[in-house]
Amino acid sequence: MSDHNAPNDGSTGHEWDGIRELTNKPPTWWAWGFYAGLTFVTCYYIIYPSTPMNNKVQAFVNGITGQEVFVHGHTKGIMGLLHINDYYEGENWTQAEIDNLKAKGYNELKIKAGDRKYLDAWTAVNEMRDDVHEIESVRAKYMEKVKTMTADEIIADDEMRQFVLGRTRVIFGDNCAACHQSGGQGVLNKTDPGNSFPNLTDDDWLFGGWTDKIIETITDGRQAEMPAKGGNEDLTSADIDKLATFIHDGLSTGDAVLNDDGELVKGADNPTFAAANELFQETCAACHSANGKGANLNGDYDTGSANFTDTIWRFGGSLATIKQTITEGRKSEMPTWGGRLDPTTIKMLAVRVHEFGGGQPKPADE
Amino acid sequence: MSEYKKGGGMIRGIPHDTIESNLPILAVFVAILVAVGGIVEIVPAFYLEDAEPKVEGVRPLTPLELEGFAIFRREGCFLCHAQMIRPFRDEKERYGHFSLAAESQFDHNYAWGSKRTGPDLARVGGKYTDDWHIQHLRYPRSVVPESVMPNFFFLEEHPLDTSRTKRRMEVLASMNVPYSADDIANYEADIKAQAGVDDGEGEDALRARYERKTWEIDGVVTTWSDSFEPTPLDVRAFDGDASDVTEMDALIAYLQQLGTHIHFEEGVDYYHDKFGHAYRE
Amino acid sequence: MSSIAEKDEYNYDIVKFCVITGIMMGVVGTAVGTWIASELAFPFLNFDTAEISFGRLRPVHTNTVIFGFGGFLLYGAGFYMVQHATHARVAFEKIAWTAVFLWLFSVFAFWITLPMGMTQSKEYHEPEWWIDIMMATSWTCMTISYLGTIARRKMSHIYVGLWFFMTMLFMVTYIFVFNGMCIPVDFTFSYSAYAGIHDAMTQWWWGHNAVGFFLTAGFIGVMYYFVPKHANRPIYSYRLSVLHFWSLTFLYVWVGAHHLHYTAIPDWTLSLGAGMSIALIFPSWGGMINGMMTMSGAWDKIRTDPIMRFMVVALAFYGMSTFEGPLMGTKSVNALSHYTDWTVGHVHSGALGWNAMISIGAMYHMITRMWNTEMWSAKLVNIHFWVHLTGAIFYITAMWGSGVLQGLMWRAFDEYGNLVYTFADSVAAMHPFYALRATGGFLVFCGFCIMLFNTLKTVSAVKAGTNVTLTAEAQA
Ligand code: HEC
Ligand code: HEC
Ligand code: HEC
Ligand code: HEM
Ligand code: HEM
Ligand SMILES: [Ca+2]
Ligand SMILES: [Ca+2]
Ligand SMILES: [Cu+2]
Repeated sequence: MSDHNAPNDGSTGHEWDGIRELTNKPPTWWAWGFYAGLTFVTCYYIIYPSTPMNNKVQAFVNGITGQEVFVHGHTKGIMGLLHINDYYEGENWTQAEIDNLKAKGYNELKIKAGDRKYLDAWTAVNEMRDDVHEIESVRAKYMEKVKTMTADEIIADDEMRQFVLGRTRVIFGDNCAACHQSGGQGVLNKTDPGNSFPNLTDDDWLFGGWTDKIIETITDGRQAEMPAKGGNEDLTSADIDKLATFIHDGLSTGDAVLNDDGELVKGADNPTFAAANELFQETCAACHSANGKGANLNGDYDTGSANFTDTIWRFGGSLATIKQTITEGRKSEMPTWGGRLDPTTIKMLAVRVHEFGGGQPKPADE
Repeated sequence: MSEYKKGGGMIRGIPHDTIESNLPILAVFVAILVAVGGIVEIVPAFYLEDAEPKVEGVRPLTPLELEGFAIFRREGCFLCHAQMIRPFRDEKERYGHFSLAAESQFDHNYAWGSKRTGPDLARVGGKYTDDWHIQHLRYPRSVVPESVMPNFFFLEEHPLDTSRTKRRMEVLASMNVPYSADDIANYEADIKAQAGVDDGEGEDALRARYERKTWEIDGVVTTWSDSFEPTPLDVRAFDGDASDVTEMDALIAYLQQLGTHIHFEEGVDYYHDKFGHAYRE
Repeated sequence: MSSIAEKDEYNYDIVKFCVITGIMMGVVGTAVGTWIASELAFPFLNFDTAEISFGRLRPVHTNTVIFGFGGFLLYGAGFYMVQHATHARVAFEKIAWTAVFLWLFSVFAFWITLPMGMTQSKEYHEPEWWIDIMMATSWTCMTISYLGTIARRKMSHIYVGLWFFMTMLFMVTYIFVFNGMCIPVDFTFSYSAYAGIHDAMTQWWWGHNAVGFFLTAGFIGVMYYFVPKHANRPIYSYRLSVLHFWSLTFLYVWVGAHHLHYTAIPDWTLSLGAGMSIALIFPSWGGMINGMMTMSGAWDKIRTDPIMRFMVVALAFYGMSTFEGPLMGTKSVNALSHYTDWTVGHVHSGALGWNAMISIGAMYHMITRMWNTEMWSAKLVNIHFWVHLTGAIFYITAMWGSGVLQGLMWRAFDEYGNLVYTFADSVAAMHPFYALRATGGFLVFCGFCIMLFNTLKTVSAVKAGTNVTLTAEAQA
């Protein structure tokens, strides 16, 4: 082995298993890049918060420089000192503070803002504030108006209506579509009908279909419960069959029609209907109302009981499903969004839901 | 020889020849050099302190939620779902307030994830109903047609195995997660109470244990201010069936509390510090 | 120059074992990779079975390719090159074999436990604590045997490839042990010793440096032996070796924080990671340049020799992913790429392009040298190259497409300042890319099958004496 006998062949003279090394210099562009990288990183650490420090050292350095070189245990970077950020309108500047900042050399026009930390350094949160501010100012033109308008006024104003529909596509998609689907059509769960989510595009409403009620639904959520057998434990399966047939083949097709007093004005000649109606008035009418039109159409917007006189079904309209509903009962819940979404957003969502197609005008007597 | 000197031997005045022909020297240099970066970046965060007020509201998981977290880990949910909202305007609109360090201060192991095949779950608590979660976890595509999430209907069929719960809590308590002896002793009653299988018997005791305002962490007693009301626990049959406690109960209980502990005030951005807590600006 | 007689004194059994096992791990790892890729494209493939659902199978894939395939390549090629570059036989052979078998048992163990849902839930550190102990013991044995062999070297200087290997051995020990610190609940579960931000930082100190030292420094070490050896050319620049070795060793360690940009980790830590990521481009490229320039005078081999082609293309991918990585390490690019498939694309341009290709090249080289034979079919090696390359390109382009699209969709605001896409829109948009990725993955898997087949044929031809032995030049 001839480790230390460098030959004159441009190699280091070392050799391992036949592998030699040349004494070429690294390519110049590589060397430049290498040093540029090191320079870059040094500058970067000066500009951005980077170096952690012990509290005592921190206090010492800050004391000497008279500047907050360190904040909260690390250097804060010179980004703030470079005046790179913009500063926004805020109420918590006192005149004394503004004077102080001017004295430090901050641009007068820029001292309009809310908090000191923002002026002082680059932080991820400050960066976000910039970005949020930017996007909020893009939509401010509309949003200012949206805040002052009612949902109905928005619907009446074509431009505002378009803006709100555009704005809520994703809000609805990310929050509501999980249950109601992106188009509001809901989910009809065939294997487990109880876990179906209502269609918001039809004009059948459980809790009222005008904007005030929709806002109420979204803000406070809804719980609707249909007790098993309508809460009447004595109901036999023969009774349930009768009731289901009455609803499925009678009320919903129009072959049986009830007046507001619960009398059969059509279909009384059908003995099944007549017998079923007796049970119906006894047990079910308390919620579904004597005329079978459900609570909503009778001015009760909280119960959420279904209307049987149309062909729109909450859980699918087969005879078997109706029997299941009666036998087992149903319970479902719409989550509460007040607190998670702000009132303006909820108002805008109500516009979207209303405009899915089934929205109703506010009734005159409400 | 001159050629050799130019290329080998000394590199910028460093006698590299010596280093590379001496195994112990090379080994020690390497061993020291590779340790530096990690020490600078990781160690300070353990000791740097901050004088600012801490946020209130972050509590340890209840035994049922803790079991849910274990299932979350077991099923690899964290490989598709992050739990770390970044301070971006789009994430603010989509997911809510950015995540604070304090929110995961008791999370052994952290569950921030690194990939969002599915949405971020940091604030999913309370967003949907239990019924929806059941349906979604059973068959995700039945409610979200685009979904690529696997079906997890079997969770409902597995009764929750609580044989490890006590030990889990003991282990965590040994690492400064503030479980008291009382919390640990009552884990079983608390699980039953929270999953609603005890007809409400243990509910008050459970709430007293986890809706409290005074916590002892690392020997330091912290009490939240009088004006702060801890977020109420969810107590109910999460899987819709009050006759038993299943893995579905535990997982949904875990999901429903995510991101609900801190009460964010509208318009206030909260900062995070390096101490694992957070402070208001 | 080592003589054949010297080579006879080398322990090739251990290398042969590791190389054949490594190829098999490649087959298994890419099979599972293709499977999980298909699950994301066609979710019915989860078959409603917990054990093979995406969340449980993904760590089987990552751990099998990294520790199974990558690990056995590092052990095999490591033992091969340390012997060749020291002219000494493996030291402490029993310890070396212990390392190999413990590693193999660890892989078997996580093949069983990960599908059962036993996971530490830290990426690339998923196997439970007792498997960690097995792996750490194996690693320690490897380190002892390796340093022992270097100590026995017949020359005064230590070869640059071995410096890189040493750096890997030390750093991986640190990070593996510290990130693995936990308190067991029982054999199936443990809690990390750290919580929240501390756990996250420790995890990515590990996660990044598993990449930086296991998948980079170790493989660069491998490159430093096999490229000049196979090209039969000297290393281009010694000075470059020295510079990029020390800078890589020092700088890599700092950048783990770039996996946590904009999270609840303090801003200053993230700046440290971001800045160093950029500074890392040139130290990383040092290895690529030294490898590429070593080829000068031997470029014609690329046309004729698919093994050489594997190695050179590997270097190109290495250069590419170490340019892409630093870009993604900056805060502004990471803001877009993090959480998306872009990361996955980057991973696989490193993994399929760099790690797999350099490994495959080194494996073919070792097989021919150890058995003193040509491959059973040179044509199949060539086909393997093209199949692998096509697959890798499908994979990487698909993930760039989906990753960038995903990132842009999430943050898109329209001219009125409203979000444009729901999350579900972005999930739906991924489908074609996921299908393409699965196709690419399948090709890579086929490549590994071809390699395994060709290797087994080669070995049995040697046994039967029907093989073509290497030329004297190649034997040297
Ligand atoms: C977790 C599932 C779920 C989510 C998410 C959800 N809903 Fe609902 N929603 C329901 C259910 C269930 C009902 C029926 C309530 C009942 O029957 O008690 C309902 C009812 C409604 C109704 C009343 C329909 C009627 O006929 O009166 C409106 C309006 C509505 N949802 C709008 C929304 C909006 C807007 C959002 C998003 C902010 C939303 N929902 C999110 C489940 C959900
Ligand atoms: C305590 C109030 C209450 C009583 C009593 C009641 N229901 Fe209901 N019913 C409801 C509510 C509320 C719903 C809607 C459930 C929902 O949307 O979650 C409903 C829904 C239904 C439906 C489903 C309709 C659809 O569109 O799919 C049927 C059928 C039904 N009830 C039949 C009956 C019959 C028959 C009786 C009497 C035996 C009865 N209900 C008694 C409250 C009641
Ligand atoms: C293969 C990837 C994958 C895995 C594994 C996975 N998910 Fe999902 N998850 C998704 C996708 C994609 C979505 C978005 C579509 C949807 O809602 O299903 C989603 C959505 C969700 C949502 C709704 C979030 C929201 O805000 O709309 C929840 C909650 C959820 N997953 C929980 C879980 C849990 C718990 C697990 C583990 C038991 C899990 N996921 C495993 C991919 C996955
Ligand atoms: C200078 C070199 C490199 C740098 C600076 C770098 C940087 C990065 C960055 C910024 C990420 C994304 C982190 C995130 O947003 O979550 C990442 C991910 C990753 N990189 Fe690299 N990379 C480099 C080289 C490589 C190479 C050569 C490989 C080889 C395989 C590799 C493998 C990975 C892996 C596996 C991940 C995924 C981590 C996860 O699970 O999230 N990287 N890298
Ligand atoms: C047939 C070839 C392969 C296919 C089809 C494949 C497929 C996949 C898939 C689908 C994922 C999950 C991505 C996600 O969660 O969205 C993944 C992750 C990963 N794979 Fe592969 N893979 C292949 C080969 C490899 C190889 C050879 C390696 C390593 C040397 C590798 C290393 C990884 C790593 C480190 C991750 C984790 C990435 C992250 O967390 O960001 N893969 N792979
Ligand atoms: Ca990852
Ligand atoms: Ca239950
Ligand atoms: Cu990294």
